[in-house]
Order: sequence, then structure tokens, then C-alpha cells
Amino acid sequence: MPPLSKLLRNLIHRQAIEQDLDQELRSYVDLVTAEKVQAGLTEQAARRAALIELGGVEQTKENVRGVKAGALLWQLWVDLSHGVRILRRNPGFAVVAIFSLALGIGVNSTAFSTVFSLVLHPFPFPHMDRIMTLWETTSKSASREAVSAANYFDWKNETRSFESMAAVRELNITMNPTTTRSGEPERIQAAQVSAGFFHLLDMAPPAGRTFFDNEGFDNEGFDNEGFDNETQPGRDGVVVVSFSFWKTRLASAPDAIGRTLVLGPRTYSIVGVMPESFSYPAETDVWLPLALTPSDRNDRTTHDLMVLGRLKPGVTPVAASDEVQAIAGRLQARYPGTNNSRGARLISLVDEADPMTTRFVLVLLCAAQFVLLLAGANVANLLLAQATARQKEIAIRSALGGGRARIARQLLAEVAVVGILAGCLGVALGAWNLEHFRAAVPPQIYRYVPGIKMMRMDRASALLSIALSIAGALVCSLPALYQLLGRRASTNPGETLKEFGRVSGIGSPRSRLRSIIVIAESALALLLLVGAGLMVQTFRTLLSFDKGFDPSNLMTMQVALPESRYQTPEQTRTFYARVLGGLSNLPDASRAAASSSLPPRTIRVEGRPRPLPGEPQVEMSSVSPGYFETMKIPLRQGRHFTDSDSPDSQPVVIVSQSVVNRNWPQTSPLGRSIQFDGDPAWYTVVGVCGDLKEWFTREPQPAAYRPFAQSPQRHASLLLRTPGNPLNLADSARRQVYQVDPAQPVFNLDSMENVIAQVTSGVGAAANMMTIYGLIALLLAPAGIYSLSSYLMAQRTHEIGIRIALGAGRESILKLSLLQSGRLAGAGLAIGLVAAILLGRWMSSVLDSIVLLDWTTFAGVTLLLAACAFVAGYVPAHRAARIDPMEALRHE
Amino acid sequence: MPSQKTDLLQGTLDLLILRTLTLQKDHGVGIARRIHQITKGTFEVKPGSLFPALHRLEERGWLDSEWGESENRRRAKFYELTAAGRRQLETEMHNWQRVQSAMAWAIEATS
Repeated sequence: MPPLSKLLRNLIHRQAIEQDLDQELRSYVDLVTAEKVQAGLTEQAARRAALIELGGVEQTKENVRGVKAGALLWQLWVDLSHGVRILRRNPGFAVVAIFSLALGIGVNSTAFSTVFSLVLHPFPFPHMDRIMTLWETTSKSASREAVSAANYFDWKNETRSFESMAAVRELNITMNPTTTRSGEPERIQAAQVSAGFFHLLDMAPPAGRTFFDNEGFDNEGFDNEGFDNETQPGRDGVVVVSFSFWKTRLASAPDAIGRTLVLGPRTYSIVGVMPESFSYPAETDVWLPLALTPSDRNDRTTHDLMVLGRLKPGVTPVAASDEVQAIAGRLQARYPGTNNSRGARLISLVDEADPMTTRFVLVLLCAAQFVLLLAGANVANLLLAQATARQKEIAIRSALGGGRARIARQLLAEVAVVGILAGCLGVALGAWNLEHFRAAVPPQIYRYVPGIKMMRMDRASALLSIALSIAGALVCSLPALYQLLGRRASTNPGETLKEFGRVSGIGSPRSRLRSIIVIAESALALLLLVGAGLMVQTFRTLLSFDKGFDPSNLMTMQVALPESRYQTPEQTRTFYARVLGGLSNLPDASRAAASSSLPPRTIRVEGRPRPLPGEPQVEMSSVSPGYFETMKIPLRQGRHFTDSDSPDSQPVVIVSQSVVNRNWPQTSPLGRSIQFDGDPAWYTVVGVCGDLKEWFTREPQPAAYRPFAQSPQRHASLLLRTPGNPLNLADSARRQVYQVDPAQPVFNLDSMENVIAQVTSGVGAAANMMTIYGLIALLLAPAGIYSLSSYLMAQRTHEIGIRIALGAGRESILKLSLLQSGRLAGAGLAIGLVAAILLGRWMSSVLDSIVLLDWTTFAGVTLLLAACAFVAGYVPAHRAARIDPMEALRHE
Repeated sequence: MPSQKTDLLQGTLDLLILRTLTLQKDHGVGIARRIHQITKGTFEVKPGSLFPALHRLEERGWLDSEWGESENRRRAKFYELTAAGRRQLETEMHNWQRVQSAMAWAIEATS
């Protein structure tokens, strides 16, 4: 029989084999008895002699089992089931230990899968680590720029490091009202992609197909003549749609492929539906072929392509980066006019993930580790208590010859069972927690945090958590093992037996070990609670601090007029003037305004030198006359914009207070002229308004505002101040826009408070997580204190009985015992407080000073924990003080 | 060193068991008694080492076992040499002879 089948036989037919062995030994006794009877002994004497000859049946059996194939596995199983039996005998301990550890493992499994989903695998692409994004750089700014088509082609043709490259251009398209379900025009997110795009990412649609090469422009020598790119934004009228587009806008139609969509000016037929996991670039609704005309392809001045490349296997990003930079260098020499000082930069797709998200995840992971430490301390504490209770049992066993290794193995098996069960329970808790966390994320966030939409408990995290649970449980058992088997305990089991039942106060080594654990628990709990408190406080502040305007009862929506239908500034001006007129006449609206952000600029003040490169820029916006009143931004000096600030009148500007503080600290800015870089015109300052504050850092933002009429923008936000809930007016507000232009979609309509909630939802989620951690800490640490002081009181029952009998007052007993637990908790809190201050500093530095070091949080949390510790210590103390001395003296 | 000594003894026991079973199949008591007999009372095999050895040999495929009836009509488990067991016996005997002569030389050389 081959060994494997023997192993299987031994494991599966365990019972039969055991019976067989049993019978074999019995038959041995029978045969020997018969032999002895023949030799002349009585039946009874013969049997006794036979049994003596057989010797230790269990030991023989054990040795036979030991030689069987799979003996080790079987032994493990026996030990584990023994562990289960012991745990079932002591369900209170088992439940508390498993649940404590499961909480610690649960938060860690959530943190692991968050790291996995958001940091390590934010995209579903199989070769994610080999996918790079490529950018152009200029000498002017350190930041990256999109790539021009001609440069992209040169990179693509000359590179040896990349298997393939693809180009993407994001754009918004209006979906014609005739094809939308609402019957209103809708704005959708589109991406024009070169034909190799899907192949590069290794993503294929479950239904339909992606683009053919001749639907893009990637293949060299393809005939592009006779194609008019001006009227056709795609080479062929084909479109691949996203899963969510198919689900919501096409109502999961089974016959979606082959249907037509009217997008912008053209009709497209649907050729494929991508899988749910795929939405790249983030939240893309439809993908169109990127069709470029020959003149587009030779264009080195329009930088509007995002370039992706997949590295050949074995090529490092550094080598590829060097190569692309060398190519860019050659292009500089070849095309000095357009490519002067244009470099190239390579960033891996993974590093493109939001760095702030990574830092939040890091903080949560660290906090989760603290929870696990705390949970582990609690389990270690429990195990020590257990070990003390079982000291006698183990002393007896070792006196009877039970090997130390065997005793240790059984204890380890027991904690391994705790580890396995806690691991499974923890992963389940973690998955549940993660699902809640994910469900709380507003969909608007998906496009900023890749991977969050598909976040789930992945297999690697689950396995890692269970392994961590088992390892953690084993580590937690070390103090107990040390106590049971350490030198003191083992040299003389007789000593232990004699010692057992004697008074062991706080000074004995085993309670010293437990005291240390309890101190550590208090310190960890304080650390976690402070972390949670700071995060919650930060989140509250983010929501409630004065942002420089009033976000309540304010509606915001956006409109982006297409260039094709709004060619002149006059047309844009007229559109917004009519829409604002309609909005302010709504019965429930108090004020309406339009605003559009412009690229930030540096300011040059009349009569002063030009700003140097790198000087701080100001935020620029173009706003309609009612803007400051609608937003409730205070006007500090001068006047508001009025309708008389027209294209023909003097260019004017309103600046915010911090611009004034910087440029005119002593004098009044009114009437002064300023210039913005890249614009020869001079603007007269007519007013000073309050600063808006950055939402995360709460820093005032220097800003300059220009009248909308003097700088009309096609893409603008419409703001509407309402007396009540602004969303009640959503439909009528939208209708105002359609009345002016029925083909014009409105998007991102929401209340300002919701927008703020979305932007701060990451911090909110972190605050929720940390609150959970804090609550766990608040549960575990007092439990540890309670269990230790109960134990100590139980140990001292006899002593306390004597004290009371000798006339000690109940109060003094209470004081004695409270002092004991108070000393431990106090030491823990003191250590914890120091650590918490360091933690707060660290959180603040990692999270860009978002986190405030709020002293009331420190004080409040310390008091809260001290109160819990007091209660946890008081209950056993109170019990001890009520001991009946007669009972106590009889107590062994 | 103790561990090697055990190995030697264990190997000896294995060899004795295999040797005992060359003629006919036998049960545990029979094997123990025969070893006692053929070693002229030098080895007395206790069940505590006999059964683990029997099961170990069976596990390696050198022995087969089946339940049968003993000479005095009692149920007993009989062990039998397999073909692999016979080959193993050859090897073991060969090895043993080598060890034996080596030991003999060694002892003569030192004395």
C-alpha cells in the first residue's frame, strides 16, 4: 500500500483501527491466560499474570499509534479535540477569551482588507504592478502634464521597455434626452481610448467586445483620409459601456449590445459591456475609440492625453523611466520649437492612488494593531488566571509523570483552538464591519479613491487574520506557560502542591506578571481612546468649523455648456443671466448666483516688481453679482459686483482679506490696480471679502474674484440660497435650466452640506472606525482590571477574613483593595497618557496637521477610563469588604 | 549515545520478528515466545515493544496481518511476511552480519 493511501486509511478509519488494536491487546491477554492455565494456574491468577505481563496498556497503544502513518496529524487532532473539551468544561473563560481575541482580529482583518483593496490592489488589472502612467514635464513647474499626441507616438515607437502603450482622453458628453430614461439630457463621463487600451489592462468584457484596431488609430499606416474629426469625436460609431451604465441607464437590458446611444452630436452602437470591477479611468460611463486625424497626430502643442504603458516582464520602472526620459531628450533636440525642456515622467498606476487615503489606512492599521495588542493582553491575563487555577491539576499530573512537553502541548492546543475560533469569528466580524464601512461611503467618492467601490474581505486578508489569530493566541499563552513550566514551577512539583492554597498577594511573581499586563492594558486602552477621541473631534471640527461661508440651506449644481453651441462669450453670458433670472424668481428661493473657478495665479501689485516664480498663488473665480450674498461671505470693504460691471466697463476685482493682509498690510487696497500672471490687463480692486478656509487644514485661502460678466465661463456652478431644505427645490431649479436650453444637462446637484459630508467622509469613516476601536478598548481594559482584582481578592479571602476578625473596618478593606487596583490603573494611565501625546503628534504629522491636539479630549478620555477602572476595581473590592469572617477563615 | 543504542536494539527486534515469521505466520504471543526460544532465553520481548514493532513493520509493508484462530481456538491476529518483508530480511541479515564482523574485529583489535 502506498504511504498516502495508508495515511488516508489511518485517518479515516481511525475508529476501526483503534478497535482493532484494542482487540489485539485483548486477544494477547486471552492467549497468555490460556497459556498460564495450561501451565496449571487458576483462571483468575492466570489472567492477573497476563495483565501484568501486558503492562501499561495506554502506553503501548500510544506507542503503536506513534508508528502509524499520519501519527503527527492524528496527535494534533487529538490535542485539538482535547483543547475543545477543556474549553467546553470552562465556557465562561472560552467565550471571553475567544470574543476578546475575535474583536482584535476583526478590526485587523478589516484593516488588512482595506490596505489590500485601497493601497495594494486598487485596480482589478492582472498585471497592475507593471502598468505605468506616463506624463510630460516642463521646466516651468515641477508638476506633470498631459501628453501631446505626436510625443505619445514617438514614445510608443521608440520604447523597448514597454510591451504596449495606450492613450486616454477623458471628456464629458451629453446624453441626448431621447435616449435617457428621465427624458432629460444627462451628462456622462466618457473616455476616448486607443484600441490597445483594454488589451493593455488585460480586461475583456463579459458581454460583447472592445474596439478593433481600425476603430482607433493605433495601427501605423492606417488610412485616415476623408475623416472629419471636428464633427465626429469617434472614428467609428461604436461604444463600450460600463457595468453601472448598463445597469442604471440601460436597465440591465439583456439585448444592450447592438443598441444605439445618442451621445453629443453622434449616434453610437453599443459593442460591449465591461465587468463591474472595471471602471478606469475612475467612474467612466462609456469608452469611445480615440480617433485622431493626421493633423492631430502631428500635434506637439496640445497636451491632453493620459498615457498608459505596460512594462515588459523583468523591466524595472527605473529602467523604463530612464529610457523614456532619454527618448524625451532626443525629441527636445529634434523639435526645439515645441519640445524645448520637455521631459517625461513615469508614475506607477498604484502610486497614483490618493496618498491621503494611504495615510488614513496606515493610521487605521496601526490603531487596529493596538486593539489586537490590547485583546492579546486580555487573553494572556485570562490564561494566567486559568493557569493559576489549574496549577494544582498540572502539579499532580507532573508528579504522576506527565511529561512537561505533553503538558505544554495540551495548553498550546487549547489556546490554538481559541486562536482558530477567534480567527474565524474575527474574520466574520471584520467582513461585516467592512461591508458597513463600504456602504457608508458616498458614491461620489468612488472616483477619488480607486478600489473603494469593490472593497471586500479578500481571501489573503482572511487567511492572514486567522494565522495572526492563532499565532497571537500562542504568544498570549507564553506568560501562562512560563508560570506553569518555568523553573520555579517545575523543579519540584511537590513544592507547588504544598504551596497551593497559600496566600499569594500582589507581591507574588504570578500576580506581578498579571499586574504588568493590566498596566499595559490600561495604557493601550487610553492610547486607543485618545486616538478615537482625536479623530472624532477632528471630524466634528471639519463639519462644523467656520468655512468662511454658510453651507446650510445652500444648493449647488453644475452646468457645462458645449463649445459647439456656445461659441461666443455673449452667448454664455446670456445663458447664465437668463438661468439666474429664472432661479431668483423661484417662489422659495432667496438668492441665486453663478461661480466658476479659474486657474490660480500670482498677483502683481501696481508699482511693485513682478512676482518671482514660486511665489504663492491666489485662488481665482469668476462670480456673478449675487455671489457673496448667496454664499454669505462677508464684504469687509468697498462694494459688491453689480450689473454695471460689464465687458465694456473697467476690469474690476474683489480680493479676500488674506490677500490684503499680505499686499497692503498698512493701507487700503481699494482703487489699487493689480495684474495676474499671464494676463496683460490691469484690474482695479473694488472690494475686500472674507476668506474661505481650506476644508482640511482650516487655513484661510487667499482669493481673487472677477465679475462673471467680464470673464464668462462655459462651465459654472449655480448656487441657490433657500429658506428651507434646498433639495426641495431640486426639480424646479433643474427645470429653470431646461427652460433656457432643453438640451443642456445639469449635474452634481446637491446641497452644500451633503457636498461637505462627501468630501469629509474619509475622515468620518476613519472616525467611525476609531470609535469602534475605542469602544472595544473601553470594554477590554476594565474587564482586565476587574478580572485581576477579583482574582486578587479571592486569593486574599483568608487574609481578609483574619483582618476582619481582628477588627479591621469594612472601609479599610475597601480602601486596601481599591488602592491595589487603583495603583495598577493609575500606572497604566500615566504611561498611556505619555504614549497618547506621542501618538497624537504622530497622527497629526502623518495626516497633514488635520488632527488637532485637543486637550479636552485627553482629559475627558483619561477621566472616562479612570471611572471605568474604578468601577471595575470597586465591584470586587466591595464584595471583599462584605466577606463574612467565619466563611473566609474556612475558605481554603 | 543512547539514541543509536535504541536504533540498534530496534533494528535487532525487527530482524528477530522478520526471522521468526519466515517459516509460518504467527500471532503476537507466538512471536514473543519464539523469539525467547530461538535466542535461548536471551531476549524477552514485552508487549510494550512488540506491538509498536509489529505495527511499524506492517506500516512499512513488510508484514501483513489478518484475524484468525489460534491453536487453542481463540481469536488472534496473525502476522505474515510479505515479499517486500522477505527482501528486507535478506538486507537486514546482510547488514547484521557486517555489523557483527565489524564488532568482532573491533573487539579483537582493542583487546
